[in-house]
Amino acid sequence: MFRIIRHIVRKEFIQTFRDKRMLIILFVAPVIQLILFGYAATTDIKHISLGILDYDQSQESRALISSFHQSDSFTLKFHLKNPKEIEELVQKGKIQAAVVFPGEYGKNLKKGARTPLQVILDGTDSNSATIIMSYISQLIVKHSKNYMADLKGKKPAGIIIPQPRVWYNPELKSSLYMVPGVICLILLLTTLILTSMAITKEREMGTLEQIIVSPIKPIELIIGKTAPFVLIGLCDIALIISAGKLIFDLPIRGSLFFLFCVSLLFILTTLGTGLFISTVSRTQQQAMMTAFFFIIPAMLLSGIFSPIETMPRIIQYITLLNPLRYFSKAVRGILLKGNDISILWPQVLALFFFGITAIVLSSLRFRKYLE
Amino acid sequence: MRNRIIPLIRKETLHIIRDPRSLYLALGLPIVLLILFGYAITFDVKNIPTAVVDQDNSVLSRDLISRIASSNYFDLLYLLNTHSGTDRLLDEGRVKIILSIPSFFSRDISRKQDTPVQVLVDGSDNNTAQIAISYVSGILQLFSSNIIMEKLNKDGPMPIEGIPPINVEPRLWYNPDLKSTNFIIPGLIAVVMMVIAAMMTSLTIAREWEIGTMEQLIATPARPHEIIIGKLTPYYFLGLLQTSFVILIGTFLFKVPLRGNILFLFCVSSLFLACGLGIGLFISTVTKSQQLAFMMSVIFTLLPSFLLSGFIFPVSSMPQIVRFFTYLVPAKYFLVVLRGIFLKGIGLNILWPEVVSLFLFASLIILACAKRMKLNLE
Amino acid sequence: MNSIEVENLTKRFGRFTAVDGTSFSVKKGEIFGFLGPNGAGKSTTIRMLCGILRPTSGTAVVGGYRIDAQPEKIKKIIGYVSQKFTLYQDLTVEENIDFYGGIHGLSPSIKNERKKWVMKMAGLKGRENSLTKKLSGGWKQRLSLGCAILHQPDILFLDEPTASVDPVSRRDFWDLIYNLSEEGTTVFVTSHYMDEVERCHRIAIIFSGKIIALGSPRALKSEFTKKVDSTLEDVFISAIERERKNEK
Repeated sequence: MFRIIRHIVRKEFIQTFRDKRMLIILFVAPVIQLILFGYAATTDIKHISLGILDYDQSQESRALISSFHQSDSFTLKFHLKNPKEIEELVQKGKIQAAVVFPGEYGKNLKKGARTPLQVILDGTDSNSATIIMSYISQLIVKHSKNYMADLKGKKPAGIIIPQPRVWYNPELKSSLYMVPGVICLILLLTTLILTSMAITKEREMGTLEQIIVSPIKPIELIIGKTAPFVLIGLCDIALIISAGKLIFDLPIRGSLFFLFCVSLLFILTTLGTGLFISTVSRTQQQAMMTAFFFIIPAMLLSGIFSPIETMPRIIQYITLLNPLRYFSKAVRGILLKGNDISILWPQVLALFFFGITAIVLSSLRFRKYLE
Repeated sequence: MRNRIIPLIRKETLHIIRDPRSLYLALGLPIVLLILFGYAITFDVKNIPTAVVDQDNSVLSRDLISRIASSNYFDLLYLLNTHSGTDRLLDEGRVKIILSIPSFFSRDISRKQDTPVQVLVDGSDNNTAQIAISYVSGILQLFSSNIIMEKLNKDGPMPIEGIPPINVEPRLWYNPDLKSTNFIIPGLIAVVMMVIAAMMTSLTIAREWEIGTMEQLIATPARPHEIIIGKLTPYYFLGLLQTSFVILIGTFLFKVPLRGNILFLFCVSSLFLACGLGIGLFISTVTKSQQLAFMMSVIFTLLPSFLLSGFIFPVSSMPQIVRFFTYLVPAKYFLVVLRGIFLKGIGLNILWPEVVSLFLFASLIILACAKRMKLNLE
Repeated sequence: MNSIEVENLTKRFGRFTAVDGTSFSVKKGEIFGFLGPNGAGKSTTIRMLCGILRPTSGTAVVGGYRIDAQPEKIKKIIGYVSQKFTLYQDLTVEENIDFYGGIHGLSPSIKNERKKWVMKMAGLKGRENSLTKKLSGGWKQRLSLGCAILHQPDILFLDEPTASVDPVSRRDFWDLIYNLSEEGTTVFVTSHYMDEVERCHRIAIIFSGKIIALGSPRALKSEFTKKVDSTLEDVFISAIERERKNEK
């Protein structure tokens, strides 16, 4: 049995790597993806470009403007003359927010009266707008508190000082958050899509018929066709982790051996799905499109890109059926938190269940399809 | 010449029609994406699972806790008296943030001393962590300034009316409710169009190479530009169809406002489609295998349109060197145009730099294709 | 007048020489057979003559055009049936014919006339709307020949056209080729079926990229063998043996 499988595996490797560019795609691309995700996929808001329209031109308004100046989060780009300019700059996307000081600002403030301050925000990017708004109000609250303290000439009361302590990722680097995501993504792409396409290719080219008439058993064919992509997938994991360590200083707090075991469990599911797709697809294009239909919801509902707890309740229940949800939690837990089986056993159990079900059902279907 | 292009287009259209599964999948993909992004995926951070350790157990500390619990951002799951076992809550991922109020909290406040509140955050999701910290700080600051006001009013002759003196009045333009669908759906159009245009065209030519029909085709008098136009036209219309789909669902189901000119929108979409189709075709001139074509189109079109275009992650926050690469991503320009037309209702007079960039990109990539597409077997 | 004039044609792929300085010519209206074992350079030669593969050195003139300078002109006057199966499987018989007629720029009236002719020739009447993949091997073969001669090319290139076709279909196929030749079409055909090549007016035997024998079947038989009732197979074997001896 193993001799036959070895032959298929060899053939698969030769076919996959016949084109040297495939080698590059399979092994260089993951690193590129890692770098992209690590550097680009950040929702931190930095360098907020801010416009100021100061009708007041008083000492008080200048004091607040200089607070904006001193803050790292803001880049004061424009001192404006009239509201028309704000509209123009926001439309062109040159500024993300504008602060308007009314004419009576300084006078009101000195009187201790309530002083309105208009803040205009470009709401197109709702996410950024929320964060920018909170940055601006924080800065203003702090400023007004200091101003009052100065006015009073003494410290009026104790204040509460938040002392944030961030665990697992103290510098809040998005790369650390993204490395586990990239691992999931690569494993999905190489094992699910390439497996389904590789089998469908044989069918499209007519070579599957040739294989079926040989004395090979279905199980041997399945193992032979899928093993190379499992190996490639595992190599990619090793590669991404090493690159993450070198480039982004990724901490590896848990056991790598445990990580590989969990990955193997997860691969059972993706291979099963890949096999299933190949039994329902006639062309590689169909296989690819069908695989995409599995992959995109799986990715988006996994908690990799947006936290599950922000989703509507009903969708949160649906994510319980998503194997990627368990896998991404396990990968993150192992790499960043150093979790072991004592914490991750529910995930391992779920992956085991999904894996066995997927592989058994689709192998049965694949056998029938060969006959 | 026209005589030769029409049969090529006809043939390509027949291929698409004969494979209805791929067609349905291609048309269904945008809908799945829309629904997921419209209903399920929000990048707003709310309901953060939270634990509070209250070592003080005073009126003041309970007041603070009730403020945190009543905000939308935090979901208070655990209220504890001691620190024992809190580590495990973070380890197991049951909570993402732990607030720890020290036992001397109210004592310090009453003595007019500063007092620390520890905020323990799970940083493995850096985005949520960052936002959570800023929310906590916001609440704490508001809480402190209220205390200050009370004190000042009690203590002093200062005629302050118990409200922070500077009153922020936010005005949100274009998207006053800050609905994330308003932000996501225009972006989604760009991603969907890129996927269909580039991915499908890159496969269709690789497929002809694999089956062997390409050899036959290049032995006919058909010229490179005729084959290119013949291949692209059906996918061009398919792409426009999908664009209309997404626009319709977006405006009617998700109520995204379409404030600009719809004709202008379709004109720029055409230009962007040309970029996508060009990239797909370029990939297919480089490879003759469908697997490789697929992998290349994922890496050169799907990922950049997702990550480097500003679809979800703002370009201005990226490091300089990554930002430089975003200039090579046509989706980045298209996204500015889409959001401009949809939400801001602006036109060519403001968006011309983006339109010119798209035009340049499309012409260059198609020119590169015509140059690379050799009608021989080497 | 010669339809094809080949001079010192050479093609190298990296260090491997597929075609090694061959020279020959093919007369108008002739059926010219190209005989050789697999990998001898038959397909490479035919691809170069069709203008879809560029020679490393040497040149050829096909229908009055040089293959290195005017490949696009050549494509207009030739028909080509490649070794790989070349019809679109997901198109119907009629759609395939319409497509190939269309890209050769036939006007609708001529296309319809030629379509009728091809349907009759290939015996496909009544199956216009069948998907091509549902046809059996012999029918597919005749249909791909039909698609290649829709535009009435001066020169027809056939690369192992009858591989995987049953003997009866093969005979029908060759009858068609004779008819074409009588009407003045030059036919250049590669094969490794000896009995088939016997029907050619002249044959060239190619081995390791070189032509090692050239002439009419009768002339070759008397040149290479002494037996009275010798076959081309004997010629083929002794030509290759002589070549091997010369190499040593």
